[in-house]
Amino acid sequence: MSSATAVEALNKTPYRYGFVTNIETEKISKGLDESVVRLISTKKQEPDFMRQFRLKAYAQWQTMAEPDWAALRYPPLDYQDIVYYSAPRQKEQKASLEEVDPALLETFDKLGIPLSEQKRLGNVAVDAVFDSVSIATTYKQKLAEHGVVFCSMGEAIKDHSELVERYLGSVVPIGDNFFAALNSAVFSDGSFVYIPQGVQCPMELSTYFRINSDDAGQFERTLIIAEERASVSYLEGCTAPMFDTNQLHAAVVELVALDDASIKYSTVQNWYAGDENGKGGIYNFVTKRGLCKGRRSRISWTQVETGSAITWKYPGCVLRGRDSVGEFYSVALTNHHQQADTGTKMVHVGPGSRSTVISKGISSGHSANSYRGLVHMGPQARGARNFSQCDSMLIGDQAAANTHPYIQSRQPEATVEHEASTCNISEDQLFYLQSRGIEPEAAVSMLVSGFCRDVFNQLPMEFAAEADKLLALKLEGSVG
Amino acid sequence: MTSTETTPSREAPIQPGDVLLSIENLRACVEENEILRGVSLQIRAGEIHALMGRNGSGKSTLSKVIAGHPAYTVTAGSIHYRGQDLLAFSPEERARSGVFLGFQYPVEIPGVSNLEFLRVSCNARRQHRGQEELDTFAFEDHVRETMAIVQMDPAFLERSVNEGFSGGEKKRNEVLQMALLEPLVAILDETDSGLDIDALRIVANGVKRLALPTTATLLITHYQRLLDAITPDFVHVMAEGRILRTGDKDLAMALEERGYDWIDETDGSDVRQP
Amino acid sequence: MSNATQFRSRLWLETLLQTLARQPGGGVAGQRAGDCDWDLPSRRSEAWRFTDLRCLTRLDPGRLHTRTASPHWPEAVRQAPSGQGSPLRLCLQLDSRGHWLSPQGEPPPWPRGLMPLANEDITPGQVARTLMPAGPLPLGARLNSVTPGPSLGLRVSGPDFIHLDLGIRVEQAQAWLAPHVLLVLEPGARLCLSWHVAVTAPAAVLPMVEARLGLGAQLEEAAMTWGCPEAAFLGGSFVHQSPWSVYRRTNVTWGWGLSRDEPFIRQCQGRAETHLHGLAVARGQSLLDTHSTVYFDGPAGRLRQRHQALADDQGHSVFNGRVVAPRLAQETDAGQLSRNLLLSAKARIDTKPQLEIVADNVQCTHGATVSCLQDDELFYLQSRGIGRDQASRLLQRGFCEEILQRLPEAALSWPPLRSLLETPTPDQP
Ligand SMILES: Nc1ncnc2c1ncn2[C@@H]1O[C@H](COP(=O)(O)OP(=O)(O)O)[C@@H](O)[C@H]1O
Ligand SMILES: [Mg+2]
Repeated sequence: MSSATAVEALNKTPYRYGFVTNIETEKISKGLDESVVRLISTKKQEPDFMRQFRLKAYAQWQTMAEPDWAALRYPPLDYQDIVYYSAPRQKEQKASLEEVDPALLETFDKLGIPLSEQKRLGNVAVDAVFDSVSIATTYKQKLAEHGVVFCSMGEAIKDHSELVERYLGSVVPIGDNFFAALNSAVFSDGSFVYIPQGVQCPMELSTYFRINSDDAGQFERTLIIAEERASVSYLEGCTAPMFDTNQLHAAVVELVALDDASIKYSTVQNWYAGDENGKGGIYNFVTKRGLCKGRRSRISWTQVETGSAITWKYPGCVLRGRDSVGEFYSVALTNHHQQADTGTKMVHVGPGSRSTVISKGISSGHSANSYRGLVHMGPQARGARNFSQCDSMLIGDQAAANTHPYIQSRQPEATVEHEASTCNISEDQLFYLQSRGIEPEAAVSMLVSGFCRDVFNQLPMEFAAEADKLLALKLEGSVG
Repeated sequence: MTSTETTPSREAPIQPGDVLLSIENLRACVEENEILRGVSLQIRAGEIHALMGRNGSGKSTLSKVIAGHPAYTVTAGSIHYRGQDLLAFSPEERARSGVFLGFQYPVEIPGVSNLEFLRVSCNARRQHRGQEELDTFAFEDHVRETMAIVQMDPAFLERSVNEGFSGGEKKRNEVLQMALLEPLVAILDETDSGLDIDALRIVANGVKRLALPTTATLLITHYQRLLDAITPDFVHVMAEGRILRTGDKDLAMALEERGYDWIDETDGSDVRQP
Repeated sequence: MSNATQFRSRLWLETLLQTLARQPGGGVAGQRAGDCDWDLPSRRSEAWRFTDLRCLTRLDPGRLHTRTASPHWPEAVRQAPSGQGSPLRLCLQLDSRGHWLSPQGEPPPWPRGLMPLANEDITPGQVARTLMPAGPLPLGARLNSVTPGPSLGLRVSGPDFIHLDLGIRVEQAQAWLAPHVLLVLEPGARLCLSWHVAVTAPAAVLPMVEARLGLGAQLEEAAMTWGCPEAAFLGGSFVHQSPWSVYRRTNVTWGWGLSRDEPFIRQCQGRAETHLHGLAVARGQSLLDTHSTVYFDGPAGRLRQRHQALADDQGHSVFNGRVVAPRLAQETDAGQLSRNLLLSAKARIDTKPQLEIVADNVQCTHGATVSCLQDDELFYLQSRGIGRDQASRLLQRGFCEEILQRLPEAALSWPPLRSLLETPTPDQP
C-alpha cells in the first residue's frame, strides 16, 4: 500500500466528544454593546475595578480591526450574532460537588474528566469550565494546605481581588490585539492560579474547557502567578459538540513568573474541527503570553493542537528577567479543511535570556498549516540565545505547509539560530514498517508520532500517552 | 485488510523438502523500465540458496518484489508462497505469514523507538501464528535474550529505528529482527556487505541458527566469506534481470576466482532449475 | 503613516510622474496631477515593514536628470580587447542621453550570438507581468516602467559563453537612472551579465532586468552595486526559467542609504536550477533590503540560496526569502540559508525565510542565523598573534569572501570592490 492510500484511510475521523448536554441554561440575548458588558459585570457581582477594566477594553475594541495578516480564510464574523454569557442554571453558591447538577458531572465523566470525589484523577486537580462558567474545582482543600490558590476567575475576582487587580492585563494589555480586547471586555470565567513563594505545587493543575451551546462564544481568561521560587505544571484541555455552525473561542491566558519561578503550561486542544467538508467547528483565536519577570524565571509552553476549524494562536514569552528561559514545543496537526496559523513569540528583553522553539506541523487533507514565529532580540539582551527548529510534514498533495519565521536582532551579542525542514511520509519508511508486519495505518501514525517525539517528551507523563492516542485518532479510524 | 480468511492464521506444520517459495517467469518494472525479465526460482524447506550477480543485475529488485515494495509493478509471471499467490498480499501480510527481507539499505526512522517498533512487529507475527502477544515487560526480556545472539548492545533499544546506526549496526539490527520474527523464508540482501570480520561471524552464526530443516534462506551476496560459513545448497547467478546460471557451491568459488565475465562468456544454456 | 507624511509622499510621487512625463519619450508616464492611481508603499504593508523610503523621497522630483560619468572598469574588463578582437566580451556604459555605448563612446560592436531586439519589442514589464500575473509589480519595477528609456533588449543564441559588462557611474546630484534590460536566451544559450554600479552623489538607480531562459539556457548575473549614504537603489530581476535552464545570481551591495533588491524567479515547468547568492554589507546608516521570490511551477526544480548580511554601526539589513512550491512542484529541492553578522549595538537585522509548500514530496530546508563574530574563531586568530581588530577584519572579510568568490573573475578587480575588502569601513567614496 502506498502512503497515498494509507492516508486516504485516515480521512474518516470520528470525533468522540461531539455530543450536546441538555441542560437548562441562563443566556443573555445575542449581541454586544456597552450595556451587555455592564450586565456581565453585574451578573458576576464584580468590584468596580473590574467593571472599569471591561468598559475600557470595550471602548478600545470598538476602535480596532480584526487582524488580517495571518494566512487564514473565513467569512466575516458577526459579533452581534453571538451570545456573550451562557451559564448552566444551578444554585449560586455550590458548597460541595454534590450540589453540582448531575447532568454536568455526567458530561465531564463522558469526557474522561471525572469530578466526583471517588473517581477523580489521581494527581491532577481539575477546574471544569462549561460554556461561560466554572462549575467545579477539585482538590481545592488539599491545595489550600500548601497555600496554592486554584479557583475560577470569578471567585478570584471576589476573593483575591488585589492579586487580580495587580496582574490582570499586565502581560496581555487590554488593547494588545482585537481578540484580546474583546476578551477583556466580555470574559466570563476561566481559571486562576497563585503559587506562593517557595512552593512547588504538589499536583498537576488542569482546566477543562467545554463549549456546549451553539451560539455562545467562549471567552475565558486564565491568570497564573508563580511567586519567587515557586513552580507549577498546568494543563488545559478542550472539546466541543459538533454543530454545523462555527463557534468563537477567544481566550486570553497570562502567566507571570517571578525570580526563579517556573511555569509549565501544556495544552491538548481538541475543539471540534468541523466535518470533512469544512462545515462547522470552533474558531480558536486566542492570546497566550507569559512574562518571565524575575531573574532565572522559566516559562514553558507545550501545545498539541489537533482541533478547531481555525487556529490563530501564538503563545509567547516576554523574557524580561536576566537569565530567564522561554520554551515553546508545539505539534499542530490539521486535516480536512482545517486551518492553523500558529507559532510563538519570543521577545528577549533581559540579558542572558534563552529560548528554545520546537515546532512540528503536520498537514493532511485539504488543510493549511502555517508556522508563524517571532524571535526578537532587544537592545539589552546581551548574551541572549535562541534556537528554533520548525519541521513540517505533508501528507497527501492537497495540504499546505507554510513557514514564516520573523527574526529581528538589535543586539550583537545575541545569537539566533533557526532551522526548518519539510518532509513527507517516505514510502521507504512506510514499506520498512509494513515489511515487518505493521498495518499501514498504524505505520503512518507511528511515523507521525515519531516525527513529534521531541514535543511529546515535554508533556507531563499522564498526558503524553493521551496526546499520542489523540494524534492517532485524528489520523485514522482506529489505532493499530 | 483482515488476513485471517485468506492466509492460514496458524502455520500448518512444514516438512523438510516442501516447496516454500516458487517463482515462475517473473517480470517486473519500475517507472516503465523492465528490471526483472523472467526470473524462475524454487525454494524448498531446508534449503539455503545464494544469489549472486553484478551490481544492477536485479537482485535487490527481486527481493523487494517478493516483499511487496509498491514502487515495483509485476507485469508477468507469479510468486507462490506455500501454494498461495503471494502477490495478492500486502507487505505486512507477507511479513506476518513468514516472509522476511533483510534490506540492503535499511531506512532510518527518526523519532520511532526501536524497542516499540520491534515489539509491534514481533507481536503482529506472533498473533498471526496464534501465539499470545507479549506485553512490554515480557517482550523486553525476550528481545534482550535475542540481542545476545547477534551480540547487540541493549542500548540500541532506546534509540530510534536505525537512526545514526553505523552500516554494520544496521545490518545487525536486521538480523535481530529476523531472529525475532522467526520467518519461514528469509531473504538477506547483502547483509554481509560492509561488515568487519567479527560482525560477519556474528551475522553468519545468527543466520545458521535460524536455518532449520523447516525453513529456507536466500542469501544475496558478493562474497565467498559468507558462503564459507554457511554452505549454500544452490548458487544462482543473475544478469540483466534473469537467472543465467545455477549450480552448487563450486559455482560460487569459480566466480570468486574468475569474475562475472566468465559467466558472460560461457552461454547460459545449462540453466537448470533445482 | 500620518496624514501629513501620506500627503507628502503622494505629492512627491505626483511631481515625479509629471517630471518624467515631460522628458523625451515620456509619454508612457502621461500623468497629470491627481491622475495617479497608486502610491508609495507605507510601512504598514507587510513587505515594507522595516524599510523606509526617506532616502528616495529626499531627492527633489522636480530637478531630476540623467547625467552619468565614465565607469570604473575593472582591470580585466578594460584590458580585454573589445569589439572585433574579442567577440565574446562586450562592455557597455550608460551615457547621459540614455544610450549604451562602448567605453570609447561608440555604438556597441555586437559580438556573434548577441542580437539587439527591435525597440517595439522591449516594452518594460513584459516578463515581469507573466511572472507576477496578479497584483502590482514591485516599486522599483513600477518606477522603472514609468521612466522613459534607456532600454536594452538582446537575443542571446549559440553555445558560446558571452560576457556582457554593464557599467553605470553617477557623480552628480539628482540623477535618476532607470535602465531596463530585456534578455531572451534561446535554448542552450549562455550569457554572463555583470553590473558595475557606483553612485557617489544623492541620486537614484532603478534597474530592471527581465530575462527569459529557453530550454537548457544558462544565465549568470553578477551585480555589484555600490552607493553613497545619500543614494538609493531599487532593483528588480524577473527571470522566467524553462526546464534544464540554470540561473545563477550573485549580488553584492553596500554603501547605499537605501537599497531594495527584488529578484523574482519562476521555474515555469520546474526542472530548472536557480542559485541565488547575496551579500549585503550595511555600515554607517545604510539600509539594505532583499526581498526574493522563487516560484516552482513544475516538478523537480532546484534552488540553492544563500543570503549573507553584515550590519555594523547603525546599519540595517532586511531579508525576506520566499519560496513557493505548489502542488505540481513535486520533487522540488530547495535550500535556503540566511546568515547574518550583527556587529554593533545600534545595527539591526531583520530576516524572514518564508516557505509556502503544498507539494508533499519535496525537500525544502531553510536556516537562519544571527550573531556577532564567533569568540572561538577570534580567539584562534589571536592565539596566533593577530590583534583583535585585525582578527575581526579578517573574519569579516572571510564572511564576505564566501559570496565574493562566486563573482566572475574579471569582476574582482573592480576598484570599488577592492575598497570593500581592504578597509573595514569602505563606504565613504
Ligand atoms: N526505484 C528504482 N527506480 C529506478 N530504477 C531502479 C529502481 N530500483 C532499481 N532500479 C534499477 O534496476 C536495476 C537493478 O537494481 P538492483 O535490483 O538494485 O540491482 P542489484 O541489487 O542486483 O545490484 C538497476 O539498474 C537499478 O538502477
Ligand atoms: Mg542490491
